[in-house]
Amino acid sequence: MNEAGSEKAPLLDEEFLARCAKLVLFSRTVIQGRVRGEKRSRRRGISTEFADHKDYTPGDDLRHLDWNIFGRLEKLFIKLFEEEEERNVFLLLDASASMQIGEPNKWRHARQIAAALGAIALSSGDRVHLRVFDEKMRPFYPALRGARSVLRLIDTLEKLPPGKGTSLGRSLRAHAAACPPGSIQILISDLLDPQGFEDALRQVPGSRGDSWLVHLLAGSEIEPQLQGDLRLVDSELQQHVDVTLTRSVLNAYRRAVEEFRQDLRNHCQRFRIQPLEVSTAVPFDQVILEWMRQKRWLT
Amino acid sequence: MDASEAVADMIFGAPQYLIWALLIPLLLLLWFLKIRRQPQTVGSTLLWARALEDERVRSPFQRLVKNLLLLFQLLTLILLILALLRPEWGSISDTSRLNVILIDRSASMNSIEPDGRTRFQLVKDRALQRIGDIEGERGVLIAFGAKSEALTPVTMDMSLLKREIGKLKPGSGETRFEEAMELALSFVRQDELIPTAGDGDGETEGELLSNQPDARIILISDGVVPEWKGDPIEVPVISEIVGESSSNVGITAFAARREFSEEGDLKVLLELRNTGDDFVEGVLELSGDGEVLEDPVSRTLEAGERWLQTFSTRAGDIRELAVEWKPVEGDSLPIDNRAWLSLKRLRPLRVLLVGDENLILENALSVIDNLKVERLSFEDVDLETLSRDYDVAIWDRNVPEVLPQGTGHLIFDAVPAPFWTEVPEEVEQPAIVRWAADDPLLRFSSMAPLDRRILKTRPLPRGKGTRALVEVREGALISRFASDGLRGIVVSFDILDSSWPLSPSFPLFFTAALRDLGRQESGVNSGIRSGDLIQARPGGLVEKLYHQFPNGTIKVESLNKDGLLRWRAGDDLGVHQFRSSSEASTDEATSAGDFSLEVPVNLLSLEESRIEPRPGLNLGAASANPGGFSWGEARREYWPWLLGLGLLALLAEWLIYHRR
Repeated sequence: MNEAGSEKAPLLDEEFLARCAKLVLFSRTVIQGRVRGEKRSRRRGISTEFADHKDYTPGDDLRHLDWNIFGRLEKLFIKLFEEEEERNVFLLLDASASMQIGEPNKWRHARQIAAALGAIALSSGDRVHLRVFDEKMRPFYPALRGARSVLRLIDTLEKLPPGKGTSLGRSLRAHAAACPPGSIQILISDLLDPQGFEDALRQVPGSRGDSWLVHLLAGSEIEPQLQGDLRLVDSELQQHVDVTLTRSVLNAYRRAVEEFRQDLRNHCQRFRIQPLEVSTAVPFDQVILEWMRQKRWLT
Repeated sequence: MDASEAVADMIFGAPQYLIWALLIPLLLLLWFLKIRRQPQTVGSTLLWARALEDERVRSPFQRLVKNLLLLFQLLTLILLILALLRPEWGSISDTSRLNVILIDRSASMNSIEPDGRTRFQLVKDRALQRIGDIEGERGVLIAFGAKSEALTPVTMDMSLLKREIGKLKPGSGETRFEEAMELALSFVRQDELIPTAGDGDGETEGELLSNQPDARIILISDGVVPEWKGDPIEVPVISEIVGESSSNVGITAFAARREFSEEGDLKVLLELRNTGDDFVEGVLELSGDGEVLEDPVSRTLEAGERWLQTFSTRAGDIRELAVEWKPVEGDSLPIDNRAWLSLKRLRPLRVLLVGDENLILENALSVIDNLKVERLSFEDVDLETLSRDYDVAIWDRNVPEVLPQGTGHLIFDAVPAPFWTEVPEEVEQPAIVRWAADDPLLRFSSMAPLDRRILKTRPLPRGKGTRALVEVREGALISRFASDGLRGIVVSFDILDSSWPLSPSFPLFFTAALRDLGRQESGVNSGIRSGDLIQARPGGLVEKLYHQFPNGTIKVESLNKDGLLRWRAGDDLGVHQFRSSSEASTDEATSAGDFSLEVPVNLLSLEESRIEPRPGLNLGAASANPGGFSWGEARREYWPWLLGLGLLALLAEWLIYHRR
């Protein structure tokens, strides 16, 4: 894990990838894909799992006639099967400048989580869409499919250039327009947007599928180790705040963090988004293998 | 300058350091220009901005706290600059005021107070309190008791006075207050010559004090001091009276004399006084050389009672006689419950009886102890060797024309020249007009039996060098004479012509006359008191004496160049022995050439035994109670306090800075 934690090390090692291959993203909703797959879809079609019958009409595939019913009722019925389709998993990765800050670094942590979730999704046959945004949504990467695409995904994430400002709402509106219903949307962000996160969350509602939020903050953002008279410079806006770090100011900051998180929880509940608060102080593999399984995001 | 006119104002001892006040605007400038904040990049200032806003709402005094640092820094700086300026406050005259502190360490200071402490401890505590009050002024410490002693020079260093007070112990002697007050006044008078403290501008520096010295005397005592009878005291005397205890029985007199009776050869006289307000029960015990001599006497003394007690005992070879009062429940002053005498074995008195056979005189001489008597006829007397061989010559009816010097002469019915040159006329059965009862010869005798009981006599007239002891209208029946080395007593009648030999007064007179003329000591040394000086000349080649204290310790005392021992009794009550040999000697050894002297040191003071504090000291118009005086008004420097406060302010600033 130490090796994986350093900036130059690969985001994921082989051992971890092997463990990811045994996991599956757990969706509460039935998905619809373009091809018949292993996942359930509400669309009834030709698949292995029986769903219903319909009256035969000319042109129907005679291979799906239910001869048993014909023997009993002498009527022609066609067997309808629940069509197994591949799921769309959207990895929405915040690459703004605020994600480049923190100790341990938020940006690497975020990419590791995204890589792990993507690898799990690809290993279980899902189609993975990587969406990276900062001030705006960057051009979409092609959707990836199949376990063979895992390394490609990781390679893409490792080479991702960091961004500058943040515009969560604007960026995710672009995503929402292209996101089919029933998808799993996994937003990985610190949500530190001066314009707020409400508009952003509104774009990824759980009503359209499964919406997960990995709210990532650096350990130094949750429990700052700063002291003295400082000029705090905003990494995105280039604005600053002069602060004398007294005990009471630090307490006020801790209260502000907690209020921010509580506000976020309230909005997640409102938009049916499942939040997971993650600190970079916690190793990402612990987040994947323990926390997400405890939240039943992974099985 | 009168102390009441003292000017109380503030001055700065080092105003030149005011230049450091420039640091104040500099500090303010630095404060406002100061904060160069360290830039620190954070992901977002969003939460910090919220926190600061929240902090502003929650802690509206945060700005004040920030400014509090400035206030404390300013306060520190101002206090340090003020300390540099050396501010002084108070009366200039008080700075030079002399406080003469008189501490009573007389015997009554050994009294034990109800809280278990000695009265002297109370005196010391009060003295330390007063020394604290006069900080910044000048002081001198005098302890007085049997002797008065200045323990310090005049100083502003009050720690010196405190140290000396710490070393002080109560004494065992009487209060010699007059001596102490004279010593105190001598300091006051010397102080008149001391120039006042100048204010540094050169105009008043060196100015002498006026005739009224700026001084005061602080007397700390239990009030058991004699009335001041000296000149009016020209400075205030502040009397601090301490103590509460009053219950005490003390031995106030202890004497003995050789008196030959059936009970013994020593008569001991004691006086005890109950000076308290309650009766006291106890036992009186007489001992000699550590052995109880007589049965102890139990007695209850009522409040204020004076008890005279006599013992008749056989002295024998006893050298130290001690008496002790043992109260059943104890009393407040133990040191006056014991007293000591020393006894010396008498040398035999050599007496020559000159004249024809006289049974009366011979019988009288035979019953007197410790005499060595010879009788010669008038013609056989060798006048040239008389003084060498005899202490007393008794001339019966005849007296030589020229009496030899160096011997005492007791003359019966004769007229010695040159004091009387003519034989007076004869008188029959004279009436006695008066007798000198104060003379040692007649102190215990009544001459009334002689009144008109003398058949005939030739009363001697008064003359130069004579004194009439028993007088009749025509002259003296018994006279003393003393001049040019001659001394004697004349009885101007024939005792056989009177009934005097049948009277008890005759042997008393006869014995006393022989011892008086023989200059024989009583052999009883009633001793001295603490503080008294004795002198003794051991003689021979003695250069030093071994001084054994009552507690057994031995110290070597050197004699002065005249071979004289001068020793002033200290606070060790009891019998002190001085001897030329390092080993204790007996009488025999002493007679063989060794010198030995026993000196009892006693308290025996009614004034000291009367321990009840007496607040009403009569010291003249200048005396007053402590409450009537101002304390602590002397000019004092405050820079140490300011420095301390400055450092405290700095500490507070540091704490606030680090607790923010």
